[in-house]
Parts: sequence; structure tokens; C-alpha cells
Amino acid sequence: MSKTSATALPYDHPSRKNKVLLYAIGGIILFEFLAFLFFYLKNSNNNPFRLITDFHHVLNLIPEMMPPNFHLLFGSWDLWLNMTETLSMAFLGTLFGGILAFFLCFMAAKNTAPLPFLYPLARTTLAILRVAPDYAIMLIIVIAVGFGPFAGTLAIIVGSTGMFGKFFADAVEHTEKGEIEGVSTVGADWFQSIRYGILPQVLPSFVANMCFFFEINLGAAIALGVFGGGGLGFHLNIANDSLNYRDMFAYLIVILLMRISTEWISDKGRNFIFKEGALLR
Amino acid sequence: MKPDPKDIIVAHGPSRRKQNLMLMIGIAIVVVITAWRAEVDIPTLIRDLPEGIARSQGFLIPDMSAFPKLTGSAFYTLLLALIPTPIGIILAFLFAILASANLVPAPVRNVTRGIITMKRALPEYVTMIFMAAALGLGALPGIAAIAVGTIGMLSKIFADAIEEIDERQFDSFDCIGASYWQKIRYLVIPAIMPTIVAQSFFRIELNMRAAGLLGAVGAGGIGYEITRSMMALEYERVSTAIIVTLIFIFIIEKVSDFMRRKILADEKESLTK
Repeated sequence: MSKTSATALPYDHPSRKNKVLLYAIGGIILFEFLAFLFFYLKNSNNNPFRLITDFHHVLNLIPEMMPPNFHLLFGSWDLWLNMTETLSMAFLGTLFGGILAFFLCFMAAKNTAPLPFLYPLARTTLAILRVAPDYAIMLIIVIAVGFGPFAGTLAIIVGSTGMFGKFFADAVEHTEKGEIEGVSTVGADWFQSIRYGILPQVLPSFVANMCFFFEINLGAAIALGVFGGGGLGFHLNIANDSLNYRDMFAYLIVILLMRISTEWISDKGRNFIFKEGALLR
Repeated sequence: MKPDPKDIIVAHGPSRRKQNLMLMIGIAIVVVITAWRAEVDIPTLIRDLPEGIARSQGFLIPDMSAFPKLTGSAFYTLLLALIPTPIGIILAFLFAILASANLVPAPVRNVTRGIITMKRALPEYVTMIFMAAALGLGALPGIAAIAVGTIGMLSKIFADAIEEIDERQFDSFDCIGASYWQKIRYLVIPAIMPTIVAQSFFRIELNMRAAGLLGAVGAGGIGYEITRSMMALEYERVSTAIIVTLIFIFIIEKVSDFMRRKILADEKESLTK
């Protein structure tokens, strides 16, 4: 209570907390209003109330999608092979993005950068890789390798290298100093101090991050398909463009099944890593 | 009697080295299979990469005359990402209350969890297609798609945070006769506020990426500019657009880092006092 003067209410006083919350909500409402106004003035099609008044158009799509194209689902293997294509893109992208980021992150961490000028250089490189949109990277890669899942895979590798690099480097910077000092005291060189001083501390978080980003990369793999990356996204886009809503529903079912099951698996994997300490020994 | 060290090792199953080797072989097999499915073609890449780089030299000379217009598009994309974020957070909070076992009966919780899982599994791009089929292309379907994605992702995280609240805290609120809404206002909201703040600012960054992507498939903004210039082989313009995106995301990251630290520090202060 030392900081409270006679006039000001204590920080955690309910009425003051309510006031802060009210100001926050008021600010958000004002921002939403102005932003929607901006869009509305730009194009009167962007009237937000159309989401409510015209929502029956969305519902009208549902009868058109019924029933899903069962022939596509069970008649042949094509759909399921497309699914493995998308899964492969996400898996390879996550794995090799993780491996590349693993080599870069020690240069992008302040406490392990071998040369001082490498730190800002590596950080900037990672920022550019992270920020450059996936689809732009893919359209550049397409110049070299042509359309197909390989271009999508390379784009995901580049994008997730940037993402992982930042997370990994932050994890390396947050490690305990004592262990590195302890290892260097007994005469470990740079590689050995990383292998025995830092790696045991950060490996679980690395792998957990990769499990988490596998899901995000799966979404990216579907989206890249739209730009010609192959897999489910490509076929979904074609079904949509040709107004084949029953085919679209079949693809949607597969996408939902795939995402839900991979999320379950990666949840289990993360719990295993943290609770059982599989990598901590 | 002391146990023989050998027995302990045997009780732990195969040695660590052997486990690692098995893991490596397993990963290698999966990599080979997935590489076959993803049509990985390293020789073509090596052969054609120099030509690809030579053809994309336009990226090195950004077209600065397009800078003001592209800044406008990036601002559009920023609004596209910022508008649905608070809406999504508030709705996600409501969904989270309906999806936590300690606030609602179990059947309600399970049904809500199912809805959230479905929402999260639906890619933003697919939601966008649906909305665009009904509402036409433009900012509106993009906003709706990002809001749905935000709800799906955040409501699970919030619900997990609510379910981690200690049962005894609810008991103590019952003891002093707090109503349901008072419990939510004075127990649940303070308990998950750090999660809300941290996740929200991270979400803005993710939504910015999503907004760029949705722009490319019809919502407009910088994503549309990038794909259009790319198709027209105007690499100088794409390069400028990427630079503008870099500047915007850099500023957002710095601001959100600052805000997050400030708000979380305030929260901590009010908790410790």
C-alpha cells in the first residue's frame, strides 16, 4: 500500500480495475467502428451487417454440398494419395526447417554467437525469412522447380526456418549460464559447450515447437496448394472454381479428419516429451 | 541389499544409443516415403536453381515509385488482421467459458469442445471460400474467416487455462456467496488475463500472415498486390511489397512486444500488492 496516495485508489481496487477494463473495451469498440467505417467508405459492399442479413447465402451452400461425393472418397485412392502429398509437404517442411534453424539458431543467440557480427546478421536473415509470405516465396521457387508439391515443400522449409530460428534462438538465450560455464571450465571448446551445456536444456522445447508448428505448416501446405503447390489445396481449389460443391465437401471431410487426427497426435507427442521426459535424460 | 547396477540398466530397456539409432532409422524411412510423395527432385533443383536466380534478379532492384501505393495496401492488410482479432478474442472467451469443465456441465463442455475442434481444423482459406461464395470477394469474407480462425485457436487455449484454475479457489468464492458472474469477473478473468494478453499479441502477428494469404485469394491488400505483380512478372514491385511487409511486421512485433511486457508487468504488480 506504500505507493497509494490519499486521492488515488489502490491499484487492485475493484472500481479502478473495472475502469481500466471499461476503457479497454471502449477503445476496442471505437477502433472497430472506425476500421469498419474505413472499409465501408472504400467499398459499400463491405457493410458488416451483411454478415447477418446475407448469412442465408452461406447456409444455402449446405444443401448444394449434400451429399458428399462418395465415389471420390471411397471409389479410388486418388483423394487419399493427395492427402499423403499434403502431409508429406508439411512433414518435410517442418523437419528440414527445424534442422536448418537448428544450425542457424546458435549464431542468432547472443550467448553462443561465435563471432559478434554474426548475431545481427543471422537475426536479420531469420526475420526476412519469417516475414516474407509463404506464397511469395513459393512463386519465386516455382521459377526454378516448376509447379508441384516440391515447390510447396521448399517454401514451407524457408518459412519455418525463419519461425523456428527465432523460437530456437530465444530458447538458447534463456538457458542457464552455469551449465555452459561448468562445461567450459573443464576445457570444452565451442562445439562441446553447446553439445553438453546448452543442448540438453533446449532440446525438449525444440521438439515441442516442431510438433506445434507441424499443425501450422499443415494449414500452410493446404493454402500453398491453391497457388499450385499440389495436394489437397490444389484439388479443393479446382473443385471450388468449377462449382463442384459435392467434391469440395469430400475434400473438406478429408481435411477435417487429417487436421483433427494430427492435432491429437502432436498433442500426445508434446505431452510425452514434457511429462515423461523422453528427451531430458 | 544394494541392487546390481547392471540390473537397473536392463530394467530400463535398450540402451540410449540403441534407442537413438532406432529413432534415426525410423525418421529416415519416413523421410524417404514423404520425399517420394512430395516429388522431391534434388537434381532438377540443382540444375535449374542458377537459372531461377538469374531470372529473378529483378528482386534486387526494388521499384520505389510504387512505395506509397503499396504502403496503403499494407495498411489495408493490417486493418484486415486487426479488426477480427478483438472480436475473435471476446468470442473465444465466451466459447472458453462454455468449454471448461469447472464452469459448465460436462455435456455442454464436450459439445463446445467438439465445435471448437471443428473450427480449428478448418483452414482460414476454406472459410474464406465459403464466405466469398455468399458475400462476394472483398474485405468482409476475409475478416469473417480470420475471426473464425482466431476463435478456434484461442478458445482452446483459454479453456485449458480456465480448467487449470484450482478447485479450492472456486470453493472459497462459493463460501463468500459470490454469484456465477462475480466468479467469472473476479476469479476467471484475472486468472487467465496473462494468457489472454500473451496469446492476443502473438495472434496479431499470425493474423497478419493470414491476412496476407487471404488477400492473395481475394480479400485484397498487399497479398493481392504481390500475387498480381508476380503473375505480371513485375519482380521489382514484388520486391517493394515484401520490403513494405517487412517494415510493417517489424513495427507490429516491436509494439506488441512492448505492450505485452508492459501489461504483464502491471498485472504482476497488482497481484503482488
